[in-house]
Amino acid sequence: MVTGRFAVLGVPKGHCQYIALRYTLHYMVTAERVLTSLRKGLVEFCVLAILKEGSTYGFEMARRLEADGLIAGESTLYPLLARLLANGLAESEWSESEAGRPRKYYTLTAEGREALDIFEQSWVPLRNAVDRTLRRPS
Amino acid sequence: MTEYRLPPEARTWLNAVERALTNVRPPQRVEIVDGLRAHIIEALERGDAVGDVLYRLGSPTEIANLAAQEELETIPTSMAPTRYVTVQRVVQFAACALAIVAASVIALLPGSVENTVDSHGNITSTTTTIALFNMDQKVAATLVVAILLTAVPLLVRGRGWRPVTISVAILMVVLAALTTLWIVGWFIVPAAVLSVIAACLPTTARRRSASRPKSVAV
Repeated sequence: MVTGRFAVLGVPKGHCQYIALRYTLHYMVTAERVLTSLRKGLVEFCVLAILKEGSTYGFEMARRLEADGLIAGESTLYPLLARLLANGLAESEWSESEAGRPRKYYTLTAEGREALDIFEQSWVPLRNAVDRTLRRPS
Repeated sequence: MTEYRLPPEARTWLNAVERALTNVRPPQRVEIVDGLRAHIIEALERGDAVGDVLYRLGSPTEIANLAAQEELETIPTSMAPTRYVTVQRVVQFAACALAIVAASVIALLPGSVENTVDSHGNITSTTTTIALFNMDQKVAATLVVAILLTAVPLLVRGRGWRPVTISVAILMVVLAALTTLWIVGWFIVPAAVLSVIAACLPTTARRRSASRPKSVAV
């Protein structure tokens, strides 16, 4: 539709598509969207890093990740945990808390530890590269 | 463990989440709902109001959308790595070992006994060879087939393992039944029985998550 509107103004079709794309990208870039996009690939490794410290339960993890600004909402964690379990990176087990209520504890598996190691090896050079690029004078 | 029953609002909300997770495979669906249930229990036990807890968790539709995105990155069950050593596999190793033992026993049985009668009329028996050297071709073929059949499931992994195991169990039973007339069939019966047991044992998927305890009421 946008393309059509520009086309009426006599701008070639290819240029119209480019302008429409620029318009869309400009519209999309908000702090929230940037954060959502960045978190998407990182949260799972943050969860694995928490589990590396020892077994923990969902509520504790959700509170911790939310306090650190790594997840947008508490419920975000559970679909992610389901994927980590299905992909064999974590395990879960129901256990009794000190108060006698059932708690579901999550533990890192050997595959999860391996995935975290790979991430850590990739993350530091990537972070440094991004920092260098952002600091580079234009 | 203390029996815990969720308030009606939380139960309704969890049911709505479960219904919304239609695009998610059942194991992941159960995992998500279980995780959320445990989260709600924890929050309520800490004194949070049920309305606040559910508000913080968001709408079932939002959770379903997130779950659908995660589903795309979940390894399909058929591609998930499977363990080679399982109870069934151990039974199959035993079946193969028994087939080899049966073949060895038959092969090492006395094959040719020579009776000599001396001048006093005493009969002396002398075993000159073992059965291996003058074994009937049918018997030899039966033993080789039994060993090969029991070895086949040990070489197969993944989705093909179950049909191969069932086929081998049937073939071993048929082979043992057909060759009992030549006696050799009785030797491979133990291997055939173990093959059938391996085929009948339930396939236990690698358990990544524990089932919900009875103390968590829905």
